[in-house]
Amino acid sequence: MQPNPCFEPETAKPDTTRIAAATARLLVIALLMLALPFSASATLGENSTSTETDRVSMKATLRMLPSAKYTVHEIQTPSGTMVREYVSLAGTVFAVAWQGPVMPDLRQTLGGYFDRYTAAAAAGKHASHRHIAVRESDLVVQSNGHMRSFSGRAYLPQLLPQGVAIEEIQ
Amino acid sequence: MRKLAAVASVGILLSVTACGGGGGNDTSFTAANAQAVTVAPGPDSNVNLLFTTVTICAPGSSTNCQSIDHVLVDTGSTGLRILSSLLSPSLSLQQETASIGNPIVNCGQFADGYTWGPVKMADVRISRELASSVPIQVIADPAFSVVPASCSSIGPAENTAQTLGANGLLGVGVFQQDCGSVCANSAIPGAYYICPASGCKVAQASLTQQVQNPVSMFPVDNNGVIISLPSIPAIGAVGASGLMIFGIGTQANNGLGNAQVIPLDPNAGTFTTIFNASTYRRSFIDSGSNALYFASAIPACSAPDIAFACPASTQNLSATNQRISGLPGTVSFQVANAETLFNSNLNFFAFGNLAGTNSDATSFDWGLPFFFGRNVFTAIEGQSTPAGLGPYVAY
Repeated sequence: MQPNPCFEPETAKPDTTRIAAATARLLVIALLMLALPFSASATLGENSTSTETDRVSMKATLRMLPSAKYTVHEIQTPSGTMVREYVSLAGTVFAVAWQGPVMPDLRQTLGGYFDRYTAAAAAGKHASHRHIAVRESDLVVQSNGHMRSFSGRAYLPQLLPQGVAIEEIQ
Repeated sequence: MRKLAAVASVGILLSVTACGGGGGNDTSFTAANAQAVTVAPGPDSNVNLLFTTVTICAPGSSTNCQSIDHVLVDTGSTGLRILSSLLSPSLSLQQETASIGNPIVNCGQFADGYTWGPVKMADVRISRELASSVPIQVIADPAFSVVPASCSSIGPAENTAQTLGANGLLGVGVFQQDCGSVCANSAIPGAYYICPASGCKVAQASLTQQVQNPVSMFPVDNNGVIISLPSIPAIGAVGASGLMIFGIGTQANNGLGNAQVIPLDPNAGTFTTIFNASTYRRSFIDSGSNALYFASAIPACSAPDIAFACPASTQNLSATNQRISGLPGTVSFQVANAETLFNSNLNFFAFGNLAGTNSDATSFDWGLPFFFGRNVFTAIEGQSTPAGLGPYVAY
């Protein structure tokens, strides 16, 4: 378990008051949700409230990084793997990215898109055990790396906010 | 990717061997620490896959053994993983158990999916080296047919020869265990499980309980491996034959010489490559990758070879890998048009100039093409070598 306190102040954060308020709100929600059984509700393509479901499911800590075009919800899991969920100003998770020593729970993270990912991935021949990519008109999933160093991202091209480059999602 | 279905039926055969005495394979013509490796089409007819034959025995036995061919030599993973369906019923490997006697089962993590199966103890014989009572993964053991959701949440299942692309994986990377302290310190979903009859639960696994790098369990020549492969002509080759040599600086045949040593991040096993003025800070050298995978402006091939690069003409490129003291070590390499390579000679499976797209722009994956024409050293974490403690790679 990594000592990673919730909402640790960090320099890039532009609005600490808002974060502090969000902290209080989310802590209350977290306490409420910890009492609930595991929820299968998930994220990609869903409302931003699903981020909190993910956080609880992954026993993780959450930090929010707002920007002009979207808000990044950073979920730090106990394994050390970071999951970033990209939430549009309209409140929809249009992309997720991960990086760390252990593969994240992609069923939770990709939500309703997980089964499409595994079906498409299994149908195509893969490059090696270090890389896989599923590229469809409305869904892109890319997973890379090796034991103790994984990274990847998934996004919904049709929900990508205007002016957001794919390279920002990492 | 190339499809040569007819080849898939060729020669993926097993041999059950009674190993007499202390010997393993017939390696009388090679050194005791040298194992033959070959680039050849595997179960899924893929290109640039490096295979070897591994002999596993019931712990303590020199007669109850089985040789498994077409095991992928993989410096990008850790531990021996063998498909259960290939194992003879008479080869009774001992189930690893937790303190209260319940079976320990592993979820092998890969970027493109998972392997599921129990951890069993086996004596592993490669060349004339013997690692005793090694925790290995037996993939898709019917005794553990229910895959926990937190394991299958990693992605596609890779529990068959077709999906694994091999009969097993020989993970001889820089780590001693597959997961390490992360799984020893807490119960990580999608890694280790304790599976009583009532069902599997996520569990911690101590460093010694985890699936182990067999090399670090050899009594000698246990600080790393060298993979030595010949150069490949620009048009490719039917295959390639080389050696995997155990130990670094422990025998007459495994000295570092003037090899450049590249130290690695001890947690991630990665180093920094600089290519085209971009920094790839999570780079790695990996015999289990069948191409050089990196982000670049080189166009990808069309389906079904979309994973590979198809430049209009062969590109002569170079990159630098950061070694000790930050001194750069320049590596020259070529990227040819993969479709041209594949279509020119349908029976070719070894290519030294094959590249592909890596969507992680921070990682340069020096796959098998890098190994052709080189001796590549992989030094295991914490092990002493003439160039200091691992982990490092050198070439």
